Amino acid sequence: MFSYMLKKNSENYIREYIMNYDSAIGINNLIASLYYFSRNDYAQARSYLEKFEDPDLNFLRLLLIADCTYELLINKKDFTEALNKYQVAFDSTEDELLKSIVNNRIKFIKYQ
Amino acid sequence: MKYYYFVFAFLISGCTAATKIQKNMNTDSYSLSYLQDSRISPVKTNTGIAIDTVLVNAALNDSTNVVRLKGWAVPLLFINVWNSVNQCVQGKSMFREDIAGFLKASLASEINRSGRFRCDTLDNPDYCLELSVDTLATEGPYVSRGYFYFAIYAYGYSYADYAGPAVSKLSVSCKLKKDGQEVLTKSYSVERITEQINRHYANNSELQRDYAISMVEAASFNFKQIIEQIVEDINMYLEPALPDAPVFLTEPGIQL
Repeated sequence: MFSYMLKKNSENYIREYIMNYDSAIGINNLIASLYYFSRNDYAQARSYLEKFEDPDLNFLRLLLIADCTYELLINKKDFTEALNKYQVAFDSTEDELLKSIVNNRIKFIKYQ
Repeated sequence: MKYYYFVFAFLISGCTAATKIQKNMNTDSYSLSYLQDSRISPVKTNTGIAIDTVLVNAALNDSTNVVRLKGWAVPLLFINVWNSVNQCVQGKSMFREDIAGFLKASLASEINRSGRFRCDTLDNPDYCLELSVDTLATEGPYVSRGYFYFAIYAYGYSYADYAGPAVSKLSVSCKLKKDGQEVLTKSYSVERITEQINRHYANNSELQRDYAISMVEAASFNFKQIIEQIVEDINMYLEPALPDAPVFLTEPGIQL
């Protein structure tokens, strides 16, 4: 539903939903973080991700936290802080496909 | 006006100058940092190893050098053809980190990850580790070729720059000492060849930048390989002589 609304550029609806949602429902924090992420507001996105907890989506949470950390770096050439976060995401899974996603992120950062 | 533009383009067309490549490759420095993918050790003993000295004996230039190996150009009246081969030799300036500091920090990090022992301070360690970087060299070709023809009412051109493949070599000697006596001495050598970068870039300076990054990436991979091997070898060496009962870790993310 969220991705559909994003695709349809229904930003007002999403914002209204975020303003009125019940933060006790965990997934809402993820929705809010994705909304802010799509608006390049990485500090807000990270703060919502840090509140979000779901063992099934833990890798996604850690990966997005690492992405936000990277985007918030003042000097992107010194990416040690982001690398440490990506390392946490990498170590959180045994799935080779998910590990390759992290590896590709590092490659992207190096060549950017 | 258009005519003069073509004449001007004809006159300036030619291979990329070695000095220009060298300047672009020295513009920035790049990190050797990498993602650790070794298996996290499920056990840690109280055996402590301190990284005592890290010497860099490798002959490495301060800055990256680009030398023209061979090249020719045929600047005729209506056609201009060129081909040049340059050799790029990596220098210290390409690395963002100090080599010795990077090796020491990365080894300490790897010990904490895959070592069955712990990284100790120099105060009173069980073992001391001495390292020396004997070879650290990355070099590879940069080829520039193309043609431009001008026939009054028509013109045509083609040009391409190719970078790589570069060969990166790293040799490290390692001495493990207990009470000043060498108990384990080993040398490690690895080599990695980068892929050739031959896709079209709108700006050749970006190609030269990516070439520099690929060289640093190859060196980084070599450091990773050797560091993992050093920790693995020390694990093997210490295994039969572990004085302490292993301590099993139960932290999240660590598989037992």
